Amino acid sequence: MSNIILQVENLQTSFFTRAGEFKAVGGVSFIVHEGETFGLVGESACGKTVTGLSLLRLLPEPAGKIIGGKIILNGRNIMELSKKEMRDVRGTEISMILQDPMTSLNPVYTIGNQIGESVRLHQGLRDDMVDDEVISALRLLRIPAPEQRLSDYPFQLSGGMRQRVVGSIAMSCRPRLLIADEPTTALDATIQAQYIALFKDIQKQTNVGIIFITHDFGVVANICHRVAVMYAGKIVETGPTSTIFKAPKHPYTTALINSVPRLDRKDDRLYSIEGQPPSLLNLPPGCRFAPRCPDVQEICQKEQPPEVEINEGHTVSCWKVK
Amino acid sequence: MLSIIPTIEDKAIPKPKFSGLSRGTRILRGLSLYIPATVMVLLVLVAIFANLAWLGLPDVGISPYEPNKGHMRDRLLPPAFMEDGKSDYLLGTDRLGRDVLSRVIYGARISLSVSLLVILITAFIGTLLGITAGYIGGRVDGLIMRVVDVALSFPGLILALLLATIIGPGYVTVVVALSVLGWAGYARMVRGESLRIRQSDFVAQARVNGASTLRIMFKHVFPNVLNSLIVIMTLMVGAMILAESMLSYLGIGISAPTPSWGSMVADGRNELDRAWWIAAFPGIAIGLVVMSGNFLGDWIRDKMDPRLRQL
Amino acid sequence: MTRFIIIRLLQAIIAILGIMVLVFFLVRAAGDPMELLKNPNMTEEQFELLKARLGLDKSYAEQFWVYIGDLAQGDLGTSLLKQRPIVDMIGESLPNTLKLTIPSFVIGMTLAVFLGMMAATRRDTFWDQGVKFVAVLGQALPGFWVAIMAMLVLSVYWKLLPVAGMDTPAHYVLPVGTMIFFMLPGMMRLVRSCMLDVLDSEYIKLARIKGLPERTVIWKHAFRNALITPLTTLGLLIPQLVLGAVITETIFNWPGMGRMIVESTFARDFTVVQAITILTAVLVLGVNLLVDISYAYVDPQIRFQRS
Repeated sequence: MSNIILQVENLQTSFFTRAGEFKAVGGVSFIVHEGETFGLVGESACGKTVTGLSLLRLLPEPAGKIIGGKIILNGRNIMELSKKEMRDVRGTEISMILQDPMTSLNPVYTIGNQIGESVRLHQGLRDDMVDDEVISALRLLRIPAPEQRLSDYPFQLSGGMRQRVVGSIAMSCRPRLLIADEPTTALDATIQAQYIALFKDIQKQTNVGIIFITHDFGVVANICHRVAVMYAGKIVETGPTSTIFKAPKHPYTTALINSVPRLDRKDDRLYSIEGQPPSLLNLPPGCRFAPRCPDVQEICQKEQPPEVEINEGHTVSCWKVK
Repeated sequence: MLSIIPTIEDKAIPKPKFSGLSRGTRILRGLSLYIPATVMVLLVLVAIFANLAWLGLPDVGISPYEPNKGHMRDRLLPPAFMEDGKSDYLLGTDRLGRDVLSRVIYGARISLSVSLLVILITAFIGTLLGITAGYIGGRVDGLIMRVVDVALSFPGLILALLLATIIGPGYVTVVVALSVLGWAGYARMVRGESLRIRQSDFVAQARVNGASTLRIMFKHVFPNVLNSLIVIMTLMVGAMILAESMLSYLGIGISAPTPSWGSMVADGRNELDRAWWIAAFPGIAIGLVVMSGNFLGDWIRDKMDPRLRQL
Repeated sequence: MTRFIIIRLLQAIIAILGIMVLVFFLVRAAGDPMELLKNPNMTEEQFELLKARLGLDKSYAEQFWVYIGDLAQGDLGTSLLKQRPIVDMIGESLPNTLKLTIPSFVIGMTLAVFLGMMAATRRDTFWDQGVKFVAVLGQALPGFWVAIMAMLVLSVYWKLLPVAGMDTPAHYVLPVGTMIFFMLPGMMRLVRSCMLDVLDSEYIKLARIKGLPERTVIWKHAFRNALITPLTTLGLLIPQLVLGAVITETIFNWPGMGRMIVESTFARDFTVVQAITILTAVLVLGVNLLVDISYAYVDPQIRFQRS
C-alpha cells in the first residue's frame, strides 16, 4: 500500500425530485491507495452505490447532482473536467463493475466486440492488435479458451462467466481504480469464493485499487484491507478491517457486527437494530443514527459529530469518542 | 454468505410522493381523468336518450329532429353560428335537408352499440382461446398462437370487403368482420398472463388438491386475467369506434339512411366545397370520443396494471 | 438456420392452401354467388348459359380444382363485371398502388423511427411533447377525415394542391400524406417506448462507464436493441397499410388496387374480391416469414437456438 490514487473530500450528492431533495450522500471523505481493497459497507439505500456512481460522474440526469466536495483521482480533481475529458477518464483511469451479470452485457453483440470496444476507444489500436488485447483481458479474469469466447454472445455464458466478462471489460485498459458494486451478490455461494480469489489475484498482478461496495460483512472480512461503514449518506467509521471487526468504536458498526449470526457464540435470539434508517428527504439535525442509537446523548440529537482519528488510519464520527 | 439485515431495495431515484406537488399539477392530473370520463358518459347518455322510442315515447328525446327525415327547403344550411345559418339547425343541414346535429346524435348509437358488441364478442372468444393456449400449452398453444399471428397481420378490411361482397353491407357485416379477427389481440395477451399464472403457487395448490384442468382455468386463471382484460377492453372502445367509422366511410357498414359518423363524412365529401360542415362535425365527434376513450383507458391501465404500459 | 427457413416456408405454404380453401368455400357458403349477378331482365335460360360460360355450373368441388389449377398457372380468374382477366386488372392497378405505398412507407417509417428516437433521447423537451401530441391525435382522429379536411383547406380554400389526378408530384402530396398519417403515430410511439426501455438497461449504463461517447451509446448500443420489438411487429403493419391504401385511393380516386377492390365489392364481383383476398393472404404470410428470418439475424439468440 503506497501511493494514494483516490482522495475524496466531503463529497455531497443529492437527487432533486418532485418530492424534494434526497440527500443521498451527505459529505463523505476517504482515501484509496494503490493495490488496496477498500470496502464500502452499509445497509441498502445508505448511499454506497451513489457514492460509486458519483466517482464516475454517472448519476442519472437530470435528477442526480454532485453538489459539493472534491474527487481527486491520480492528482486531478475530476469535478473540474469537461464532459469529454471525463469520458477519457472512464475506462482508463477508473472503471466499474455492476451488480447483475445477466443484464450488464448487451445481448446483440459478441463478447469480443464489447471488450474490444473499450480497447479500441481508449488505446486506438489496429484491428489485429485489438483481439490480442481482448484475449489478454479475458485471460486476466481466468476465462477458459479466450480465443473462442471472442465470437460468443452473452446468452451463451453462465452468470459467473458473464461476471468475469464484465470484469474483463472493466480491466481491459488497466485502470488504476476499480469500483465493484456488489459484484458477488448475484452469484452462487460457491462461485463467490472463486470470484473473490480472482479479484485478489488481479490486484496482485496489476496493483489496481479496488473500492468494494457490499452489504455482506463476510465478503468484507475476506477481501478488504480497509473498510468504511456508511449510514444514511455519511461514513460513520473507517479503519483497517481487523480493527473494525475486533474493536469497533461506533455504535452502528458494533450493532452491525453483532447482528451477523456466529457459530461460536450461543445466541438465543438474532440481534437486530431497532427502527428504520431516516428518510433522506427529512434528515434529523444531529447525528443521523441518534434515533436508533443505544448510547445516544443529548448532544447527538443537536449536532453532527466531527470525524476523529483514534489511531493510525482509524477514524470515527461519534460523540462518544473524544 | 452472512449479511446485515436487508431493508428496502436500493433505488437510485426514489419515488416522488404526491404531497409535494403543486396545486397546478394536481389539477392537471385530475383533468386527465375527469374530462375524458365526462365525454364518455355524455356519449352513453346521448346514445341512450337520443330518442325514447324504446320507452314507448318516440317523440321525446335529446335529438332535435328525426335523423332520416329532411326538409328539402332547408337543405345545405350552414351551422347556426355562421351567417346564413338558422338557429333551428345548430350544426347545419345536409343535401337532403336533414339536421346534422340530430344525425350526429343518432350516430352515437351506432358507434357505441357496434363497438360494445364487438368488444364483448371478441373478448369472450379471445379469453377462451387465450386461457386454453396459455394454461394447456404444448401443441394446442402452438397452433392457437400461429392462428393469432396470422389473424393479427391479416387486414381486416379485406375480410370486411369479402363479407360485404357475399352478404352485402350492413350492421351484421360490420360486427362479423370486426369480430372474426378482433379476438386475436385478446388471445395473445390473455395467453401471456395465463402462462404466468400457471407457474404460481395457488395453481399448484389447486392441482395438488385434485382440481380438474377446466376448474382451474375458470376458478383460478380467469379471475387473475380479469384485471388486464378490463384494461384492454376499455382501450379497445376507441379503436372499435374508429374501425366502424372506416368501414362506414367506405360504404360497407351501416347502410343509408341510418346515420353513422363514417358514412356522414363520406356524404360530406361530395359537398366539401359548398357545405364543409357535413363532413367536419361527425369527424370531430369521432376524434373526441376516441381520444377520450384512449385517455380513460390509459388511466384505468395505470390504476389496474401498469405492467401493460407498452400498449 | 436453413432448416429454420425451410420449416417456416412449408408452414406458410400449408397456411396459404388452407386459406384458399376457406375463401373459396366461404364465398359460396351464403348461397350460390351467381344469384348476386342475376339480372331481372335475364331469363332462366340465359342465366344458365352465362353460368356455363363462366364454368360456374359445375359442382363446387370441381370448381375448386379448376380454380387451383388455374392459380398454379397464374390465372386468377375473370372479373364478372369487367369481363377481363383479373391478372390484367391487377397489372394495371398494382403499379399505381405501389407508386403510392412505397414512398409513403419509406418516408413514414424513417420519420417514425427518427421521431421516436428523438422523443426518447430528449425526454420532456419539445420533441418529446410534440411526438406525444401527434401520437394522441393520430390515433384518435380518423384518417379519412383528416385527409378530407386537409383537402378542404389545401385544395378548396387555399388552392395549393390539386384534388385528383396523378400527374405531378404535387398530386402526390395529399395521398402520401394521408398514408403516412395512418402509419406514423403507432410506430412512432412504439419506437419511443422501446427506446426508453432500452435506455434504462444495465448494459447502457456499462457503455457509459466505458467512457463511450453518447453518440455511440445511443446509435450502436441502444438503437439496435430498441428496434427488435418494432421489427417483429412489422407484420402487424400490413393491416394498417392496406387500410391506408384502400381509404386513400378511395378519397383521392387513385386508380390502384384499393379502389379496384372497393368497386368490385359494390358490384358484387366476387371473383375479383376472392382473388385479392387470396393474394393478400400470400402477402401476409410472406411478410411474416421474412420478418421471422430477419429477426433471427438481429437477435442472435433465435439463430443459435434453431440450429
